[in-house]
Amino acid sequence: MTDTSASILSPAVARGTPVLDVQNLRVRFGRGPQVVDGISFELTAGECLGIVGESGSGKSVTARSLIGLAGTGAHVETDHLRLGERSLVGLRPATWRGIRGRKIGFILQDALSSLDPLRPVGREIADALRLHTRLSPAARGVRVQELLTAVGMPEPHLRARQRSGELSGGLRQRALIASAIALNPPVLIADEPTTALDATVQAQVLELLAQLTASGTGLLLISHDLAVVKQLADRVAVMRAGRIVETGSTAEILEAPQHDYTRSLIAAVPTGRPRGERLSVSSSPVLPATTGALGTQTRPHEPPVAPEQHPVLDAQRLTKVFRTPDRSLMRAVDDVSLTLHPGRTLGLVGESGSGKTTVARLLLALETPDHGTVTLHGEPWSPLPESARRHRRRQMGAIYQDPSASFDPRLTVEQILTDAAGNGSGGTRQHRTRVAELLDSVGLASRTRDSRPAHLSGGQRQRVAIARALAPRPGIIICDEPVSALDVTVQAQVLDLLNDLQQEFGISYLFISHDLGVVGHMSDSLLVMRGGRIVERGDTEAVFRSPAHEYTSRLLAAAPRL
Amino acid sequence: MKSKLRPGEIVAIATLALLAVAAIAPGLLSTLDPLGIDPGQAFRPPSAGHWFGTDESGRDIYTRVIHGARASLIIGVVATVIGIGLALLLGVAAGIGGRGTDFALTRVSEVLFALPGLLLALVFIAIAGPGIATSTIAVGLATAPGYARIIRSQVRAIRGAPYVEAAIVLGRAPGHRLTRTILPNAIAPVFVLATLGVGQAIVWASSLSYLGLGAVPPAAEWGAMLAAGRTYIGTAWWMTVFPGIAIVLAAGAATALGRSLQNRTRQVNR
Amino acid sequence: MLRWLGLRIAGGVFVLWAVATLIFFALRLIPGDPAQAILGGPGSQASPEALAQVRLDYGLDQPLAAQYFGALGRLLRGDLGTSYALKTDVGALILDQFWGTLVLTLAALAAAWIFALGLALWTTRGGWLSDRVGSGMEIMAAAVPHFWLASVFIIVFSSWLGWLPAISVPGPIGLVLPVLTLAIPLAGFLGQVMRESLADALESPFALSARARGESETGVRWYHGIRHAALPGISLSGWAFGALLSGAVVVETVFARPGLGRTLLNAVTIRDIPVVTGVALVSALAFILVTVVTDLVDRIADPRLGTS
Repeated sequence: MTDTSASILSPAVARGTPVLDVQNLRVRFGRGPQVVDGISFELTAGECLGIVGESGSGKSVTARSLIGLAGTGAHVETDHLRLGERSLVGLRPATWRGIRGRKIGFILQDALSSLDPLRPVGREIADALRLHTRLSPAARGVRVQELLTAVGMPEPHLRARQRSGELSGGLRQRALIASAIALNPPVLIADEPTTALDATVQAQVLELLAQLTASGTGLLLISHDLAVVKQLADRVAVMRAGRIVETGSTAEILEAPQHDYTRSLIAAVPTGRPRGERLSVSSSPVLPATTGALGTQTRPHEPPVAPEQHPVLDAQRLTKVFRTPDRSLMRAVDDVSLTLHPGRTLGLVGESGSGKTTVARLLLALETPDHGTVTLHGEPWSPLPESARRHRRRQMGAIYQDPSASFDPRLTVEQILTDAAGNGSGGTRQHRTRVAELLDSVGLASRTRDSRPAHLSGGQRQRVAIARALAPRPGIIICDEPVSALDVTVQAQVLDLLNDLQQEFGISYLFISHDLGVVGHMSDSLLVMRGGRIVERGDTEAVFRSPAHEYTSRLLAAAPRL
Repeated sequence: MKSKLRPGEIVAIATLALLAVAAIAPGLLSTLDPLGIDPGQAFRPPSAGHWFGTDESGRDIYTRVIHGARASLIIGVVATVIGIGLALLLGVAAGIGGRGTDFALTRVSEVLFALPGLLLALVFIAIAGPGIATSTIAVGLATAPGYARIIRSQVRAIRGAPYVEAAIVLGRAPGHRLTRTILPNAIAPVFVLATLGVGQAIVWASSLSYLGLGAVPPAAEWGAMLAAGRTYIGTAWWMTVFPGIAIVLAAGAATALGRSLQNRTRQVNR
Repeated sequence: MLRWLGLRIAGGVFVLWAVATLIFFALRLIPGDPAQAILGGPGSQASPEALAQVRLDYGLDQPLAAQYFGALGRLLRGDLGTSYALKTDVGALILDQFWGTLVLTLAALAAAWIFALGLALWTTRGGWLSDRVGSGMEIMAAAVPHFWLASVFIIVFSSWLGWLPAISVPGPIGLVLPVLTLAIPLAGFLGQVMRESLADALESPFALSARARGESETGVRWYHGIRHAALPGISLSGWAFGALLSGAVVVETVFARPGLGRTLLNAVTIRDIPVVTGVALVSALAFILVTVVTDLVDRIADPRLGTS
């Protein structure tokens, strides 16, 4: 950090001074249950406290309560809530407004929606100065440039005039951070500040936050991702269902977790865990004794076999060009070849915009390649007309990132699975048995059969999606970001389930994800994609051990791990 | 669709039920003759004997409003059926058709759109001549492009939805996808659209009658009654106010019901 | 942007041509002899000589294609033909009536905008009354016919209170009731859409960010909310102008106000086809122009539209 930026960014509080002290914070909405149920912590200057929890743990409500913005209908109570020497209990709205932005900065997840899409980002940053200083508009403009420079924004003059939609994810997040630290607040609350970002960009933003704590800001970092928190936090509090179940120094929490929930969180992180090791601790084995019945009744799948056998899916030199809205051509997929062997998992990792989803769509023949061919079980696939492909479609299944959109909203789970399993033949009785088998094999209770997927939890929904993919007994399943929308412990269960099913049925997976850790845990071999091209390929272990391409090394370095 | 009815919905349904009774069996609500003239009773203001007063020929306006429900509702419903029917043809064809079909049909609806609202209806009446039948068709025709646009975008959205793609991955033929997935999902919104449309059609059809292009006095039709009242607006306000309230109630109830149906289907799908 | 504008204008020209063609051929479907219509319909008992003369004058003896291209050629020169009833030039007639309607519709659009924005800002404040008004205003807008609203205004403000004239006299005072009649239902529609957009904006993460920066509720509305409320209003203004043109037919009739709408209605009633065609084409032209302008403003106001 340069001298100027250091002076710009450091608040006037000595390190180690308590800046925030929360005792027995309780929040509920209307007559609902306690969303936050008596949590206490304190934060000192220059310290980073990480709050880790999954969705619904109450961590975001906690963050908002600390700036008096818990939301409409919220009842917030505390024994005490202090900012430095000052109590924040029972403040008038005008007093709160003087504290927000000036004494406590707040950074929200997803800068795209956290910055007004209709206003230049410079104006958003200047707003903080307009509210809390008497600077003239011109002086605010100068200060905005300084702030943008300090958060590492290239070409700040240009960027200040752009709107958030015109900036990349990383630059947007920097602009949001600049608006939060414009007044050098001694406390900064960051709620999932890197969740929407690619790994390499995430690393840069975390680095920026680390600089802020180094210069004396107290940082409250809220995240679902233990691996992210670990990189910054001095201390960690683990939150579940409105309570802090465990708190301690980062090292203590990671190395000697006391609480079961903390342990399951740690176990769920796939990064650097060898293939085959189970990630979910709490859940019972997903395939109970009944699996034998399922296996014997079904017609035989290809057994797990060595890669020397014929590939099940083979793509040679695929290229797909799209026309962008401004009429230029974009090579979404550029000369991509891949081979999927029976019973194996091929991982495909890449950041947003790398073309990995287009690859999946080409393999599923939802798009036609401009060049190159896809071969399925040794026979042509992509060059055929759809009518000739249709009867073979059942050999290949697909699982998507957002399962809820992939279900016909009118259908129940049972109807979805019956529809996927049957080609019209077989009686009702047979269908019911098959649905029961499928639910059983993905670990869903049979009472879910009458629900609509919209009413299930995210994890259950993804299990239904897996059951649907399994229903036609395919040899191949294309998994496109199948766990990105899930909490870590649920992600662990789903990943374990996918591995179990592969063992059981010998299915081949193409596993696509932006998360190198997840792909590394799941795959036998690995492809790294960037800008439509495959920059690295090889055995997963070998790639992790000695990446050949510079980009892979950067991805590896950026991947948060425990 | 299982959640309890809200007060607004109860009012809307009750209003429509009352109008339906008036349309089917007006004798239950009033025993007088809607066309029976009584010159001695002309221009009587509202009273216990004549709740809504009487018109220039001494006809009871309450009775005429009740009897007017049939004509107004039938015109509204038929016009909506015509409008939605045309829109379904245009919209579904554009929605499921290829690029060429979509382009051509979108241009067609743009051309119809260039004559907004009543203008298209008026041009049609200029060509086909005035009357109840033509004004009903005119309203249907004039509302069709708007519906077609909505239906087209709905069908397009459903066609591009991930769950339709999931059906492709399962090896479903286009016909199967259309009849089993796309159309069933498009029907609920079209039904909502039709409910909303009845309200609009009642308003437009009564406007045409008021302008002397649809039903003509002394027929008991709300728009025509208002047209008759126009001459006496300075002296017999009740001739204008009460038939107008009937239009507002009918159209308002249909619109309110349509909106709440829309919210409910949205919630179910969420 | 230029390319987009070029495409839009080309599209507009196409639509005008298509409207003209459609009307031309639809007119040939009318049963009966156009020459009869010109001379005042079958009841006029025109002599065969007069009919023949009219056919010659209006080119009705020529083949259909020649008539069609002749009509198109005249259109391109701005010649809209001669009124059957008034025997005057339709172009001059329309030009005469056009400004009255333009003033009426634009004033109503402006008034509707102001009401709608006010309604949107007020009904998102919360509270029993504003919630009721918020949820009811769209239904009222859809259900209240212009002619009835105008009649009620006349009864209340002219007959009972005597504040405003029932007939649209020249000058601003005569404009009040017609503008209110057109603006109030439109404000209900626009207000509903603006309200939804404003409510979304006030609950969005960027509003939370602004509050977390220390912005007051008023500030959030002023610096962020109004823009987001206005956007759908701008997008809908083209459509709204069309609805106003259509409403002008009724309002001009009720208030006996000269204008295109009333001219059209009279022409429709006596089936003066050249006038109907002329007014329809001019309305379509005005509507298309306004739509292009609102789309342009929309793209300038919302940078997201240009990229998607």
